[in-house]
Amino acid sequence: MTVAGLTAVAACRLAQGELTGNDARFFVLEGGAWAGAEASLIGAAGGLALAGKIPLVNLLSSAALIRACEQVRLDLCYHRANAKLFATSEGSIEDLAVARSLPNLTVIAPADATAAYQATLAAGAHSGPVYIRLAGLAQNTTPQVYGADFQFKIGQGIVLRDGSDLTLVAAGRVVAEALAAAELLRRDGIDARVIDLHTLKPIDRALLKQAAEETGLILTIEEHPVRGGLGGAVAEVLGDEYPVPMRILGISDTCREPGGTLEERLRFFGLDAPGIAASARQALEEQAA
Amino acid sequence: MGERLEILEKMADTLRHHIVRMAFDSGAHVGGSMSVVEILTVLYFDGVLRIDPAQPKMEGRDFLIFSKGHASAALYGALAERGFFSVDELASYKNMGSRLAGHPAKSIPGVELATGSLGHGLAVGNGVALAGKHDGRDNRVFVVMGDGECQEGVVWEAAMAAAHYRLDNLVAIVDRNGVQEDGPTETIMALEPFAGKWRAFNWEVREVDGHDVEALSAALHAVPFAPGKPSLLVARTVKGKGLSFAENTHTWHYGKLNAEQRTQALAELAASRAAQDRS
Repeated sequence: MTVAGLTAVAACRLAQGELTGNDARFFVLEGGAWAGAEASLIGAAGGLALAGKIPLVNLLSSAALIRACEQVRLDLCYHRANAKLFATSEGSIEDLAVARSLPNLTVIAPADATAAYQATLAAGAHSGPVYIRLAGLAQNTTPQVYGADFQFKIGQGIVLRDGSDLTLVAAGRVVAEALAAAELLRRDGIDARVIDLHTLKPIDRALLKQAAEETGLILTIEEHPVRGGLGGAVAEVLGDEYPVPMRILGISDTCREPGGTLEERLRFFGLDAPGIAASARQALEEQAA
Repeated sequence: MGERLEILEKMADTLRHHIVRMAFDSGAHVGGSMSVVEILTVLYFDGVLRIDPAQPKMEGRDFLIFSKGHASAALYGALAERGFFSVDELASYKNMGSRLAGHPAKSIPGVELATGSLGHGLAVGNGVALAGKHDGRDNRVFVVMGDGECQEGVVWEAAMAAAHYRLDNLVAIVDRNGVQEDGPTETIMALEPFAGKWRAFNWEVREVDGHDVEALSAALHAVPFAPGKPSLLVARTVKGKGLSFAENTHTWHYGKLNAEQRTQALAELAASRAAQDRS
């Protein structure tokens, strides 16, 4: 199945259509139809799951997870409800920290439309609640990180590029930026490994430990506050397994919204390729000093 | 009085004894447990719920979602007497390691939804009812709610959705005892006109005396109250019903009976049984 030319949200809906077409247990709940009444929407998803359905819930935005957090926690996570949540646009950027803290919830941030399509099918085949963050990928058909032959496996990170000087670990839309940053660094003679850590929970501990052992410096990149998201998740693993110097690139502790396009915002927060490359050079210099 | 009603009233008395025992041993939400006794009695022991205690997850069963989970002492008594687990197990209420926690856990046979955090039940009931409609089943979902939790926004979101999706396989029963944790509902955050609010949300509403098993039975055997609409039964009850010192007061919303209070409680329950027997 090709998703060329589709946004990640459209690719996700395509996969949802395949799931519902093949199995009557799947049941799409549209957040738009529930008018943003997310507490009631998530509760209904819990009830559908109790009755044996597999609700596919298209949340208007990642803010829905925050608004209905207690319903997600009790009605879905506690009951291991077989419900899948899709954040189809940006709302609250803190969603990954919240999602990651909830027991039994699988948390995925795909890198592009192909990954979103595959992740949706994988979520459908997985038993238990899943949160998929499509924020940041919602409006644009680019970038494309993966080809049509891409195979997605929940919990298994992907080494997109090997390297030995440092490792860039990214999730979501900024995976493409991390790849581009590695190319910029190569021109400076810096050999960066790039990992797409699309599943924040359960996290790929072995891949992270190996990267720490072999490259000795980790930069994480996320469209999320620097506390509690991908960087926090990686730090928790490396603190246990193999502590090495780390830098967490993300959004500082702010509610300030700079406006502009997604690309402009990435540049503003230093999460575009040049910003990531600059942080990588600085971290290497500090390590050498 | 007919034999069937007599059996139901005896069961209500039995459930009240269980609540007194649990409230003496471990402490319990006495007020809301005592007020919901007849509602649970009619649901479980008058053939309303199509369930099988031997197969708690039986295909096609009716669902009971007990949204006012804090009144677990009443629910557990009913589940045990109905045969979901042994009556002896009630003695372990709230003990370390017991599955009979203060708020119902999903591991307890007969408990469909873990509750305790208020306001969740009706929305989840919508989901069960939607699934039933989608799959063309004829099973129903009954949601037992407290009145205090109807101050929460999610209840009205769910009320709107239930009417919008024409969920006439959904029945909500509100234990309208008029008293919440901190005082009378009408002083804390007024709910009246309560039935009128639900009617305005396009529910079909009936009101009964929530301690009159005959009236409850007639209403709950008559659902749906209107085709194409969700049903609401406002059961007007007395908080702490049966214990004079706990009636109509928030001070026994939760409490632990001491020996003297237990003696008084048992004497009062015995007296009201004797009065029923004479009638």
